[in-house]
Amino acid sequence: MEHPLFFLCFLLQLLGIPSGPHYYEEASHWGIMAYIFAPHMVNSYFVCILIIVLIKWGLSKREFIPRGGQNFWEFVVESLYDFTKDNVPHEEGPGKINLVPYVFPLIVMFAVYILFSNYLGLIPGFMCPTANINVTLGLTLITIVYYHFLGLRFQGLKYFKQFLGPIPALIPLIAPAEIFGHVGRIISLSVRLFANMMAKESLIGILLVLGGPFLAPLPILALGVLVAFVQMLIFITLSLAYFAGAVEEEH
Amino acid sequence: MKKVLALAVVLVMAGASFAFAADASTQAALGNGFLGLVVLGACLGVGIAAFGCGVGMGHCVQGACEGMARNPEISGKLTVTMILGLAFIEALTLYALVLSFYLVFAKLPSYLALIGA
Repeated sequence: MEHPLFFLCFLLQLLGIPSGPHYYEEASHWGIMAYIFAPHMVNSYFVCILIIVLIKWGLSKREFIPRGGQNFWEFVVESLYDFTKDNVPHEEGPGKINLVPYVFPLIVMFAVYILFSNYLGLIPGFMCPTANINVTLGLTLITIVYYHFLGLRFQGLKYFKQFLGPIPALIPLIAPAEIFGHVGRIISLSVRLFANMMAKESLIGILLVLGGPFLAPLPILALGVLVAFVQMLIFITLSLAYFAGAVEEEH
Repeated sequence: MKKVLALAVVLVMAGASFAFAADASTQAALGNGFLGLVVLGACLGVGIAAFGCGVGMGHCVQGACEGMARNPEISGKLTVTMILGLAFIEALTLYALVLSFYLVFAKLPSYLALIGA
Protein backbone atom coordinates (compact mmCIF):
# COMPACT_ATOMS: atom_id res chain seq x y z
CA MET A 1 0.00 0.00 0.00
CA GLU A 2 1.31 3.42 -0.92
CA HIS A 3 1.71 6.06 1.75
CA PRO A 4 1.66 9.84 1.54
CA LEU A 5 4.68 11.79 2.68
CA PHE A 6 4.30 13.07 6.22
CA PHE A 7 6.27 16.23 6.80
CA LEU A 8 6.97 15.71 10.49
CA CYS A 9 7.91 12.06 10.00
CA PHE A 10 10.25 13.13 7.20
CA LEU A 11 11.97 15.61 9.51
CA LEU A 12 12.34 12.94 12.19
CA GLN A 13 13.73 10.50 9.64
CA LEU A 14 16.43 13.04 8.81
CA LEU A 15 17.36 12.88 12.50
CA GLY A 16 17.69 9.11 12.23
CA ILE A 17 14.53 8.20 14.12
CA PRO A 18 12.47 5.31 12.63
CA SER A 19 9.33 7.40 12.19
CA GLY A 20 6.69 6.93 9.52
CA PRO A 21 4.09 4.50 8.19
CA HIS A 22 6.64 2.08 6.72
CA TYR A 23 8.37 1.71 10.06
CA TYR A 24 5.04 1.52 11.91
CA GLU A 25 3.87 -1.39 9.75
CA GLU A 26 7.06 -3.30 10.54
CA ALA A 27 7.24 -2.12 14.11
CA SER A 28 8.08 -5.58 15.41
CA HIS A 29 11.36 -5.21 13.52
CA TRP A 30 12.10 -1.57 14.36
CA GLY A 31 11.27 -1.71 18.03
CA ILE A 32 9.44 0.63 20.36
CA MET A 33 10.69 3.83 18.67
CA ALA A 34 8.53 3.02 15.65
CA TYR A 35 5.50 2.88 17.95
CA ILE A 36 6.36 6.09 19.81
CA PHE A 37 7.02 7.97 16.58
CA ALA A 38 4.20 6.46 14.50
CA PRO A 39 2.65 9.05 12.15
CA HIS A 40 -0.49 9.62 14.20
CA MET A 41 1.55 9.94 17.38
CA VAL A 42 3.95 12.47 15.84
CA ASN A 43 1.04 14.57 14.57
CA SER A 44 -0.64 14.25 17.95
CA TYR A 45 2.50 15.58 19.68
CA PHE A 46 2.52 18.42 17.17
CA VAL A 47 -1.10 19.28 17.99
CA CYS A 48 -0.34 19.23 21.73
CA ILE A 49 2.69 21.51 21.30
CA LEU A 50 0.68 23.82 19.05
CA ILE A 51 -2.13 24.10 21.59
CA ILE A 52 0.29 24.76 24.46
CA VAL A 53 2.14 27.44 22.47
CA LEU A 54 -1.10 29.13 21.40
CA ILE A 55 -2.41 29.15 24.97
CA LYS A 56 0.87 30.57 26.25
CA TRP A 57 0.67 33.22 23.54
CA GLY A 58 -2.90 34.02 24.56
CA LEU A 59 -1.91 34.27 28.23
CA SER A 60 1.25 36.30 27.69
CA LYS A 61 -0.36 39.75 27.69
CA ARG A 62 -3.47 39.93 29.86
CA GLU A 63 -5.44 43.11 29.33
CA PHE A 64 -8.78 44.34 30.55
CA ILE A 65 -10.04 44.70 26.99
CA PRO A 66 -8.88 41.49 25.32
CA ARG A 67 -7.19 41.58 21.95
CA GLY A 68 -5.71 38.95 19.67
CA GLY A 69 -4.93 35.62 21.28
CA GLN A 70 -6.51 36.48 24.60
CA ASN A 71 -9.72 37.41 22.81
CA PHE A 72 -9.74 34.13 20.92
CA TRP A 73 -9.18 31.93 23.95
CA GLU A 74 -11.71 33.84 26.05
CA PHE A 75 -14.25 33.31 23.28
CA VAL A 76 -13.44 29.58 23.10
CA VAL A 77 -13.58 29.01 26.84
CA GLU A 78 -16.73 31.07 27.32
CA SER A 79 -18.60 29.34 24.49
CA LEU A 80 -17.60 25.95 25.84
CA TYR A 81 -18.60 26.96 29.36
CA ASP A 82 -22.06 28.01 28.21
CA PHE A 83 -22.38 24.84 26.15
CA THR A 84 -21.37 22.67 29.11
CA LYS A 85 -23.78 24.49 31.40
CA ASP A 86 -26.66 23.96 28.99
CA ASN A 87 -26.10 20.24 28.78
CA VAL A 88 -25.32 18.98 32.31
CA PRO A 89 -27.15 19.49 35.64
CA HIS A 90 -25.73 22.62 37.29
CA GLU A 91 -27.93 23.41 40.29
CA GLU A 92 -26.19 25.08 43.21
CA GLY A 93 -26.95 24.25 46.83
CA PRO A 94 -27.01 21.27 49.19
CA GLY A 95 -28.43 18.08 47.79
CA LYS A 96 -28.21 19.40 44.25
CA ILE A 97 -25.73 18.23 41.67
CA ASN A 98 -23.40 20.72 40.01
CA LEU A 99 -21.49 18.78 37.40
CA VAL A 100 -19.84 21.72 35.61
CA PRO A 101 -16.57 21.80 37.65
CA TYR A 102 -16.18 18.05 37.18
CA VAL A 103 -16.54 17.93 33.40
CA PHE A 104 -15.66 21.40 32.10
CA PRO A 105 -11.83 20.98 31.91
CA LEU A 106 -12.24 17.62 30.22
CA ILE A 107 -14.68 19.06 27.69
CA VAL A 108 -12.32 21.93 26.86
CA MET A 109 -9.51 19.42 26.38
CA PHE A 110 -11.66 17.25 24.11
CA ALA A 111 -12.95 20.19 22.08
CA VAL A 112 -9.62 21.92 21.48
CA TYR A 113 -7.64 18.75 20.89
CA ILE A 114 -10.17 17.19 18.51
CA LEU A 115 -10.76 20.43 16.60
CA PHE A 116 -7.04 21.10 16.10
CA SER A 117 -6.45 17.45 15.18
CA ASN A 118 -9.25 17.48 12.62
CA TYR A 119 -8.10 20.71 11.05
CA LEU A 120 -4.47 19.54 10.89
CA GLY A 121 -5.51 16.95 8.31
CA LEU A 122 -6.53 19.70 5.88
CA ILE A 123 -2.90 20.82 5.53
CA PRO A 124 -0.95 18.81 2.93
CA GLY A 125 1.87 16.85 4.49
CA PHE A 126 0.11 16.35 7.80
CA MET A 127 -2.52 13.84 8.89
CA CYS A 128 -5.37 13.94 11.39
CA PRO A 129 -4.32 12.13 14.54
CA THR A 130 -8.04 11.36 14.86
CA ALA A 131 -7.91 9.43 11.57
CA ASN A 132 -6.37 6.57 13.56
CA ILE A 133 -8.63 4.31 15.61
CA ASN A 134 -6.16 4.16 18.52
CA VAL A 135 -6.38 7.89 19.19
CA THR A 136 -10.16 8.08 19.09
CA LEU A 137 -10.47 4.91 21.14
CA GLY A 138 -8.25 6.48 23.77
CA LEU A 139 -10.39 9.62 23.89
CA THR A 140 -13.53 7.48 24.09
CA LEU A 141 -12.19 5.36 26.92
CA ILE A 142 -11.52 8.52 28.95
CA THR A 143 -15.18 9.45 28.53
CA ILE A 144 -16.47 5.96 29.32
CA VAL A 145 -14.36 5.44 32.45
CA TYR A 146 -15.09 8.94 33.68
CA TYR A 147 -18.86 8.75 33.35
CA HIS A 148 -18.96 5.47 35.24
CA PHE A 149 -16.77 7.12 37.88
CA LEU A 150 -19.13 10.12 38.06
CA GLY A 151 -22.14 7.84 38.34
CA LEU A 152 -20.56 6.00 41.28
CA ARG A 153 -19.37 9.25 42.83
CA PHE A 154 -22.79 10.94 42.81
CA GLN A 155 -25.18 8.01 43.15
CA GLY A 156 -23.12 5.44 45.02
CA LEU A 157 -24.19 1.86 44.60
CA LYS A 158 -27.61 3.05 43.43
CA TYR A 159 -25.88 3.69 40.12
CA PHE A 160 -26.07 -0.01 39.30
CA LYS A 161 -29.85 0.12 39.63
CA GLN A 162 -29.86 1.94 36.29
CA PHE A 163 -28.70 -1.23 34.64
CA LEU A 164 -31.54 -3.30 36.07
CA GLY A 165 -34.64 -1.44 34.95
CA PRO A 166 -37.74 -0.64 36.98
CA ILE A 167 -39.37 -4.08 37.25
CA PRO A 168 -37.51 -6.91 39.07
CA ALA A 169 -39.11 -9.61 36.91
CA LEU A 170 -37.65 -8.10 33.76
CA ILE A 171 -34.02 -7.94 35.00
CA PRO A 172 -32.80 -10.86 32.84
CA LEU A 173 -34.13 -9.06 29.78
CA ILE A 174 -33.10 -5.51 30.56
CA ALA A 175 -29.66 -5.99 32.11
CA PRO A 176 -28.03 -7.51 28.99
CA ALA A 177 -29.60 -4.84 26.81
CA GLU A 178 -28.29 -2.07 29.06
CA ILE A 179 -24.81 -3.56 29.22
CA PHE A 180 -24.80 -4.00 25.46
CA GLY A 181 -25.85 -0.37 25.09
CA HIS A 182 -22.95 0.78 27.27
CA VAL A 183 -20.48 -1.33 25.28
CA GLY A 184 -21.99 -0.02 22.05
CA ARG A 185 -21.24 3.52 23.21
CA ILE A 186 -17.52 2.74 23.11
CA ILE A 187 -17.75 1.54 19.53
CA SER A 188 -20.10 4.21 18.21
CA LEU A 189 -18.29 7.16 19.81
CA SER A 190 -14.82 6.11 18.69
CA VAL A 191 -15.67 4.76 15.26
CA ARG A 192 -17.83 7.78 14.37
CA LEU A 193 -14.98 10.25 14.77
CA PHE A 194 -12.40 7.90 13.27
CA ALA A 195 -14.56 6.98 10.28
CA ASN A 196 -15.41 10.56 9.40
CA MET A 197 -11.79 11.65 9.45
CA MET A 198 -10.49 8.55 7.69
CA ALA A 199 -13.20 8.74 5.02
CA LYS A 200 -12.26 12.36 4.34
CA GLU A 201 -8.55 11.58 4.10
CA SER A 202 -8.94 8.52 1.90
CA LEU A 203 -11.42 10.34 -0.33
CA ILE A 204 -8.88 13.12 -0.82
CA GLY A 205 -6.26 10.51 -1.61
CA ILE A 206 -8.46 8.73 -4.17
CA LEU A 207 -9.41 12.01 -5.84
CA LEU A 208 -5.75 13.03 -5.97
CA VAL A 209 -4.94 9.83 -7.80
CA LEU A 210 -7.92 9.99 -10.15
CA GLY A 211 -8.47 13.65 -10.86
CA GLY A 212 -5.19 15.46 -10.71
CA PRO A 213 -3.55 17.30 -7.85
CA PHE A 214 -5.19 20.70 -7.84
CA LEU A 215 -8.95 21.05 -8.32
CA ALA A 216 -10.33 17.57 -7.72
CA PRO A 217 -9.93 17.36 -3.91
CA LEU A 218 -11.10 20.94 -3.33
CA PRO A 219 -14.81 20.16 -2.67
CA ILE A 220 -13.83 17.47 -0.17
CA LEU A 221 -11.45 19.86 1.56
CA ALA A 222 -14.20 22.48 1.78
CA LEU A 223 -16.57 19.86 3.16
CA GLY A 224 -13.82 18.76 5.54
CA VAL A 225 -13.84 22.15 7.24
CA LEU A 226 -17.50 21.64 8.13
CA VAL A 227 -17.14 17.96 9.02
CA ALA A 228 -14.18 18.62 11.32
CA PHE A 229 -16.16 21.14 13.35
CA VAL A 230 -19.37 19.09 13.43
CA GLN A 231 -17.56 15.94 14.56
CA MET A 232 -15.94 17.86 17.41
CA LEU A 233 -19.36 19.20 18.38
CA ILE A 234 -20.90 15.74 18.28
CA PHE A 235 -18.12 14.21 20.35
CA ILE A 236 -18.47 16.74 23.17
CA THR A 237 -22.29 16.72 22.95
CA LEU A 238 -22.40 12.96 23.36
CA SER A 239 -19.80 13.03 26.13
CA LEU A 240 -21.87 15.60 28.00
CA ALA A 241 -25.03 13.54 27.45
CA TYR A 242 -23.31 10.47 28.90
CA PHE A 243 -22.02 12.45 31.89
CA ALA A 244 -25.47 13.91 32.54
CA GLY A 245 -27.16 10.54 32.08
CA ALA A 246 -24.85 8.86 34.57
CA VAL A 247 -25.52 11.24 37.47
CA GLU A 248 -29.23 11.81 36.99
CA GLU A 249 -31.47 9.47 38.91
CA GLU A 250 -34.12 7.33 37.30
CA HIS A 251 -37.64 8.62 37.64
CA MET B 1 -38.24 -10.29 -6.51
CA LYS B 2 -37.75 -11.74 -10.00
CA LYS B 3 -35.63 -8.77 -10.97
CA VAL B 4 -33.44 -9.25 -7.90
CA LEU B 5 -33.02 -12.91 -8.74
CA ALA B 6 -32.15 -12.09 -12.34
CA LEU B 7 -29.61 -9.54 -11.16
CA ALA B 8 -28.06 -12.06 -8.79
CA VAL B 9 -27.82 -14.63 -11.58
CA VAL B 10 -26.17 -12.09 -13.88
CA LEU B 11 -23.68 -11.16 -11.15
CA VAL B 12 -22.82 -14.80 -10.50
CA MET B 13 -22.46 -15.44 -14.24
CA ALA B 14 -20.18 -12.42 -14.60
CA GLY B 15 -18.01 -13.64 -11.76
CA ALA B 16 -17.93 -17.15 -13.25
CA SER B 17 -16.94 -15.90 -16.69
CA PHE B 18 -14.06 -13.98 -15.17
CA ALA B 19 -13.01 -17.09 -13.33
CA PHE B 20 -13.13 -19.18 -16.49
CA ALA B 21 -11.26 -16.59 -18.50
CA ALA B 22 -8.24 -16.76 -16.22
CA ASP B 23 -5.86 -19.67 -16.45
CA ALA B 24 -5.38 -22.04 -13.55
CA SER B 25 -2.47 -20.31 -11.83
CA THR B 26 -4.09 -16.87 -11.95
CA GLN B 27 -7.31 -18.42 -10.72
CA ALA B 28 -5.52 -19.94 -7.76
CA ALA B 29 -3.76 -16.65 -7.05
CA LEU B 30 -7.11 -14.87 -7.04
CA GLY B 31 -8.38 -17.36 -4.51
CA ASN B 32 -10.94 -19.09 -6.77
CA GLY B 33 -13.24 -16.08 -6.81
CA PHE B 34 -12.74 -15.19 -3.16
CA LEU B 35 -11.03 -11.91 -4.10
CA GLY B 36 -13.93 -10.89 -6.32
CA LEU B 37 -16.41 -11.76 -3.59
CA VAL B 38 -14.55 -9.65 -1.03
CA VAL B 39 -14.41 -6.62 -3.34
CA LEU B 40 -18.04 -7.09 -4.38
CA GLY B 41 -19.14 -7.40 -0.77
CA ALA B 42 -17.21 -4.32 0.26
CA CYS B 43 -18.65 -2.14 -2.52
CA LEU B 44 -22.21 -3.46 -2.17
CA GLY B 45 -22.09 -2.97 1.58
CA VAL B 46 -21.25 0.70 1.23
CA GLY B 47 -23.93 1.05 -1.45
CA ILE B 48 -26.67 -0.47 0.69
CA ALA B 49 -25.65 1.60 3.71
CA ALA B 50 -25.64 4.76 1.60
CA PHE B 51 -29.13 3.86 0.30
CA GLY B 52 -30.64 3.70 3.77
CA CYS B 53 -28.77 6.73 5.02
CA GLY B 54 -29.85 8.71 1.95
CA VAL B 55 -33.49 8.00 2.73
CA GLY B 56 -32.93 8.99 6.36
CA MET B 57 -31.13 12.20 5.48
CA GLY B 58 -33.88 13.07 3.01
CA HIS B 59 -36.49 12.77 5.76
CA CYS B 60 -34.31 14.86 8.06
CA VAL B 61 -33.84 17.70 5.58
CA GLN B 62 -37.51 17.55 4.58
CA GLY B 63 -38.60 18.04 8.17
CA ALA B 64 -36.16 20.87 8.70
CA CYS B 65 -37.25 22.64 5.50
CA GLU B 66 -40.93 22.38 6.42
CA GLY B 67 -40.20 23.71 9.86
CA MET B 68 -38.23 26.64 8.45
CA ALA B 69 -40.97 27.44 5.93
CA ARG B 70 -43.60 27.56 8.65
CA ASN B 71 -41.52 29.47 11.15
CA PRO B 72 -38.55 31.26 9.56
CA GLU B 73 -37.54 32.82 12.88
CA ILE B 74 -36.14 29.57 14.27
CA SER B 75 -34.27 28.61 11.12
CA GLY B 76 -30.91 29.06 12.87
CA LYS B 77 -31.74 26.59 15.63
CA LEU B 78 -33.26 24.18 13.13
CA THR B 79 -30.16 24.30 10.95
CA VAL B 80 -27.89 23.44 13.86
CA THR B 81 -30.11 20.55 14.92
CA MET B 82 -30.39 19.34 11.35
CA ILE B 83 -26.62 19.33 10.82
CA LEU B 84 -26.14 17.43 14.07
CA GLY B 85 -28.73 14.88 12.99
CA LEU B 86 -27.21 14.60 9.55
CA ALA B 87 -23.82 13.89 11.08
CA PHE B 88 -25.33 11.14 13.22
CA ILE B 89 -26.97 9.55 10.17
CA GLU B 90 -23.86 9.95 8.07
CA ALA B 91 -21.85 8.02 10.65
CA LEU B 92 -23.88 4.89 9.86
CA THR B 93 -22.67 4.92 6.26
CA LEU B 94 -19.16 5.47 7.48
CA TYR B 95 -19.35 2.39 9.71
CA ALA B 96 -20.02 0.38 6.55
CA LEU B 97 -17.20 2.24 4.81
CA VAL B 98 -14.77 1.35 7.60
CA LEU B 99 -15.81 -2.30 7.38
CA SER B 100 -15.31 -2.33 3.62
CA PHE B 101 -11.91 -0.66 3.98
CA TYR B 102 -11.06 -3.30 6.55
CA LEU B 103 -12.09 -6.02 4.10
CA VAL B 104 -10.18 -4.60 1.17
CA PHE B 105 -7.04 -3.27 2.82
CA ALA B 106 -6.58 -5.43 5.91
CA LYS B 107 -8.29 -8.74 5.17
CA LEU B 108 -7.32 -9.12 1.55
CA PRO B 109 -3.51 -8.81 1.87
CA SER B 110 -3.47 -11.27 4.72
CA TYR B 111 -5.49 -13.72 2.65
CA LEU B 112 -3.28 -13.20 -0.38
CA ALA B 113 -0.22 -13.79 1.81
CA LEU B 114 -1.87 -16.96 3.08
CA ILE B 115 -2.30 -18.43 -0.41
CA GLY B 116 1.12 -17.21 -1.41
CA ALA B 117 0.11 -14.80 -4.16
